Amino acid sequence: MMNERDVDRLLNLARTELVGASDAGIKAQLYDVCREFFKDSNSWYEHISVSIISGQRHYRITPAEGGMILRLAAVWDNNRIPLSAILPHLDPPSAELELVYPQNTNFTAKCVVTKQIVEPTTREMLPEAPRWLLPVYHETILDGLLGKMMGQTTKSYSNDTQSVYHLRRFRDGIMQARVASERANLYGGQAWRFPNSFRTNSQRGGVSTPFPRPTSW
Amino acid sequence: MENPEDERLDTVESYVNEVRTLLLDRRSPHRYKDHEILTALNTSLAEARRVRADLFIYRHGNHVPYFTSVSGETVPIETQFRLAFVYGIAGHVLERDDEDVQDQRAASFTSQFYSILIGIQRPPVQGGNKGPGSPQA
Repeated sequence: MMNERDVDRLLNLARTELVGASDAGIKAQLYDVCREFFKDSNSWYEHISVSIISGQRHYRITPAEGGMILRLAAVWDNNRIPLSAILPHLDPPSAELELVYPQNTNFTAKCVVTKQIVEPTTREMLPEAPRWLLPVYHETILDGLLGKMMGQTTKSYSNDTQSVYHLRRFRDGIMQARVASERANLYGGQAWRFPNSFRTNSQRGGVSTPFPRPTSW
Repeated sequence: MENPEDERLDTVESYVNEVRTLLLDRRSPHRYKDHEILTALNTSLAEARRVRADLFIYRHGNHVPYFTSVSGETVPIETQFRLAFVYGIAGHVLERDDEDVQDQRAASFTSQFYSILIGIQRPPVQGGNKGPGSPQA
């Protein structure tokens, strides 16, 4: 979970900017900032193993590294072939995984889920967010925190102009995190890929060849 | 290294003592009874809940604390807001006093209470007088 020094640094900077703010208020707002960050960026992943049983379509999956399951990114069988599946029911922190088609053998599948922070918080009323959050996205989280705090009314730290400025930076940061997450933090990674509907896990319809016509060599 | 236990204004008793100092009411018999100051403390907490609900966010619940005796019981208020409650309590105690001469000072203390809670700059304390029950009176 989040490193204590990273959190101290974040809170100290927030206290400096927010004259008259309470620590409890800042921490409560930090929870909401983290929620929005993870919900819109899909940047918190976890790989979960699921023991698939022949003929059974429904499985309960629970994250082992904190947070709650929010969305399903992918499910693979033990040959890395994608399986069609959905998450019809969320039951924080767990979720119900439903395979669209029942399997005819037992195997261990891997599913990738994106996650979201969830109650309860730590004893210090801090959200249970992953350790990498602040080292990587410190500025974004600080902008979100300042923007949301300054957007409150009738407080000594209320400031509409600064609130708009920080929230705009916050949303930009979320989008950067979303893109970085989609490209698995690969610098210069491909910005486009075939849509999901092009996916296939069979060779029905022809065997692939290096070129359309071998005679063109 | 600071010892957190040395912090002042963290108990009901320390609030009452500080308020008595501000009201020049340290010597017995006191002009302002303990239960009057406790009422003012509870009222100030309730008023603070109205204007600064974030001061009462706890891990479990968000109740407003209530005190019935002058003791070492902790008043769960963050350090930077404790001075506000000293003024809030003193202002409320003076408002309950039937001496008209205290009204301006009561208003001044109450103003300090609000300024610390929802403002940045504190106004000057006004309405000074010798004070009833004061050894200097």
